[in-house]
Amino acid sequence: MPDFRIEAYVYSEGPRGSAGVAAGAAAALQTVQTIAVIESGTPATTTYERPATPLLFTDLLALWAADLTQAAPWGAPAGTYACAYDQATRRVTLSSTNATAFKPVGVGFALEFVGITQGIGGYALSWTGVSVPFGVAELQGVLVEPAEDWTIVELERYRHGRAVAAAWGNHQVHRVQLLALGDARAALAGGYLTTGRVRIYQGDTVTPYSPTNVDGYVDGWVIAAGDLEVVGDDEDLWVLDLLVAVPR
Amino acid sequence: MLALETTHSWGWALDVTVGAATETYTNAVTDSDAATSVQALVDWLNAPGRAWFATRAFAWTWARQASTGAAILTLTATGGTFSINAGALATLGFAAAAGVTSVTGSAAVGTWAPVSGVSVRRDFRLLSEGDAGGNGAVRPGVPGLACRAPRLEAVGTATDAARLAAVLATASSPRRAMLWQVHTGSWVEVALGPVSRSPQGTLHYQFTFDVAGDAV
Repeated sequence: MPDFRIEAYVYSEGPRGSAGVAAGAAAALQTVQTIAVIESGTPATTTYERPATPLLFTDLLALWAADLTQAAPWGAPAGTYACAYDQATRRVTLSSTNATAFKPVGVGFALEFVGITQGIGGYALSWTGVSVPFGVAELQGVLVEPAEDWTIVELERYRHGRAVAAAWGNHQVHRVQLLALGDARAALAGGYLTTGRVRIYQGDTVTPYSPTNVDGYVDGWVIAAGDLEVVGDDEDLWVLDLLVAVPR
Repeated sequence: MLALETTHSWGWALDVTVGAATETYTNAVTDSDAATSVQALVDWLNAPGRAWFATRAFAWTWARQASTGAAILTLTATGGTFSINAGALATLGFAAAAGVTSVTGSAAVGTWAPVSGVSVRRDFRLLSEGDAGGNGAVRPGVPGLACRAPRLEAVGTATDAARLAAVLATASSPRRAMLWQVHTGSWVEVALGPVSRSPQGTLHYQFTFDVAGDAV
């Protein structure tokens, strides 16, 4: 269960499977969302997986595993797969669940994004990343202020004592402070957690933030970020301020 | 209490039954706030044209709801019971009730009732500077710029802070609000400008509002 954590959303717009990737086609927008596997029994076949919509990091891993296990449009690989992030070890593992040896192939930066930075040589039943993934960071603490209405208001005073307060805006913001230790700092420094859409968990509550659930997780877009700064004299403890916007 | 004018649908109808008589109140304004609407409802309920005019007297009160930071309204009748349908549920929070002497609603839309209450001070007209101001000169025939400029502050919990942000998101433009001023026992209407928030201790927040009256 999430504790103090920040997770990135990964942008994707499809198409599913191999379309737009094979033969160097440029039809698909590549971010870090596309992964592939080559199985030992069919070394000439690369089976690609790409989500159709943007996904939260942990949801992306789950979809990779589910889709690589399917027949179409992923080319009917022999293997069935599991892919999950271990909160305790802070590592991602991509494995075969039916003893099909394979090797992962990342399109662009996908493998590095999930922490599989070791050299991919031969085939194996399971691949566990040796690095912390850039899509999630377990934090020492997080401070999330209640939402502030981010509306521009022009208050004008006119003769006869009249006043008009014209207002316009489309989002609210949360001021967030992250406290990171050790490899969480490396994850933050990767940039995926400090830009774009993120989810910030304030603790064990896994329901969304609301005016009556102020401890809930915040889903929003990072619109401003401070510098990653050391706390006191401890070189391993870092703090980062974010401004997270939630559209309405 | 702060009752903000919101973009909710304020054009609702409420059936009120006293004894054998049922009459329907229609709130026909497009932009309104909870305080103005419930007062209009009570004025209608107590009007001489009502079938129960001689036997029932209605009134309303409000109270803070700590779990939401909102205000909950209570409609009360003296002289007997009454029944209502759920026509005002979405705005004033009154669920349907039958044969009651009072009904207390859920959180009324657009209302904010922080733990400290809302401090409304210095609500009087001040002469302003500038071309339309009458400050420093005798200018017969010039209307002058003499706005009411009350000072509005409050202290609230994290829930109050979250409630205020949620309520402000529903404000109509221009922003107008009704404020309950305790020491005068009256409602003050203002144009609601920017709101600033700062931590107050470890568990509370201080709110400062830039307001002016009379709101257009």
